[in-house]
Amino acid sequence: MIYFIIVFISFLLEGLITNIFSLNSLFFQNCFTLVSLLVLYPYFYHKTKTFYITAFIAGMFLDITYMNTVFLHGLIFLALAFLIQYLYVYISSHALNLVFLISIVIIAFRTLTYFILIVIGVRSFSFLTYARSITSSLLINIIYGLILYWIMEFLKKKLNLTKID
Amino acid sequence: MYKQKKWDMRHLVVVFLIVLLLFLVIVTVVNKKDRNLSYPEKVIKDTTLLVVKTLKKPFDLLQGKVTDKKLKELKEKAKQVDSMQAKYDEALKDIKDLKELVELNSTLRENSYLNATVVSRNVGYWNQYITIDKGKKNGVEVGYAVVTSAGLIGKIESVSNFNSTVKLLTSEDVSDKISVKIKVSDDDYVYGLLNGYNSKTKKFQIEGIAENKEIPADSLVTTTGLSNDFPSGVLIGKVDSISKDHFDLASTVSFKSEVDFEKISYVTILKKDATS
Repeated sequence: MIYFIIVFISFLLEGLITNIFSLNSLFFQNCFTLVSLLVLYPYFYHKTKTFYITAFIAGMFLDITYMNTVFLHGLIFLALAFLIQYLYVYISSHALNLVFLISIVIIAFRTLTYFILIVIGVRSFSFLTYARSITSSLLINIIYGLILYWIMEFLKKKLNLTKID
Repeated sequence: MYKQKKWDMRHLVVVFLIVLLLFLVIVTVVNKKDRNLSYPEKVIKDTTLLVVKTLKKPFDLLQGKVTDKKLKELKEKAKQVDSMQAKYDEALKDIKDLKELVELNSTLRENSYLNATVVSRNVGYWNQYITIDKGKKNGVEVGYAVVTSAGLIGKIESVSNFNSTVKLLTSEDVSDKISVKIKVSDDDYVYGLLNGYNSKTKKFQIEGIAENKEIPADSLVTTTGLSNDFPSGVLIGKVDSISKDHFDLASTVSFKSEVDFEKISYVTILKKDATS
């Protein structure tokens, strides 16, 4: 239950934080919901199916609440959930590794979204916009990921949570 | 054994391609332009944005303290507005008299105003959208123009019961062209289509102006009211530079908006009156 609450808080923060930073901020484009899924995956011990469902629902909520689309982020998050699972097979859950993992997942997320939006023709974007979408997202999401990682480490000890290392 | 492995690989590729194709088809079909939000979408959107709005209140209070200085400046400006209001009222009376004279029932400029607060801005990076806290229950409809005190910022893209999404003019989506006019003298205008926004220079462009009129710098760019979405005379910006094409036939006008699109917190919706 605690995992769903954390994903939901991240989802609310994703919208809330946009009121603090400027619209096209150069360093503060957040993807907190996705980062929370990445940080929380090791805690979905033997519950991969639940993790996929959580990722899909989180994406759908993003679609409906903030993006004005349906299924787009739901399905992208599902694809990224597979990627996250695959990455954790080779990379252990550690603060330093997390910086690398967040970078990979953010790049994959932006690339996937960029190509899908172009292919389905909902919108058209320049390559510069795509490049900026990645550079402007890394800093804030890495900071949030690390904060969440330490919060989860603290909660793991307090609440005896199980985690895949 | 080898053959079996090769078939498996092909099988996987085919399955992957089918899944990818299905994914693209679903997303394309479902996300049609001008679609209306379904009932569950409206409920989810309104409920979650209500939580976001409640959580945003402490930030607003904090922001309020910071903007105390600005408040004093605004009070000064408000005094100036009072004198302008008197002139405006007189002008309105003149318009009413003239309309009675020509038996005109409505003009494109007839709108009522509705103020709204921004709940979230450009979540997800790609969409130059902002979400505001007024929706269908407040009489907001898709296509209504949205302005700030500095000028037009965009139009309503979708509406739920208590919230709306505004598509900003700075969106890279070039499918929607807005009909605009540039005031070149007291009663003379040059007409054109707003072609897009350059995020690098932060300027808008009006292309294909064939008229051979001198366009002075700082000329006002306003909406024409010729489309269904925007009423006439809504300020968009001021002319910055003019350039000619290779054949010296058409001009391209660059203009800047006075709106700070990066930090929009409060907006006004121009509601169309039933009579207009």
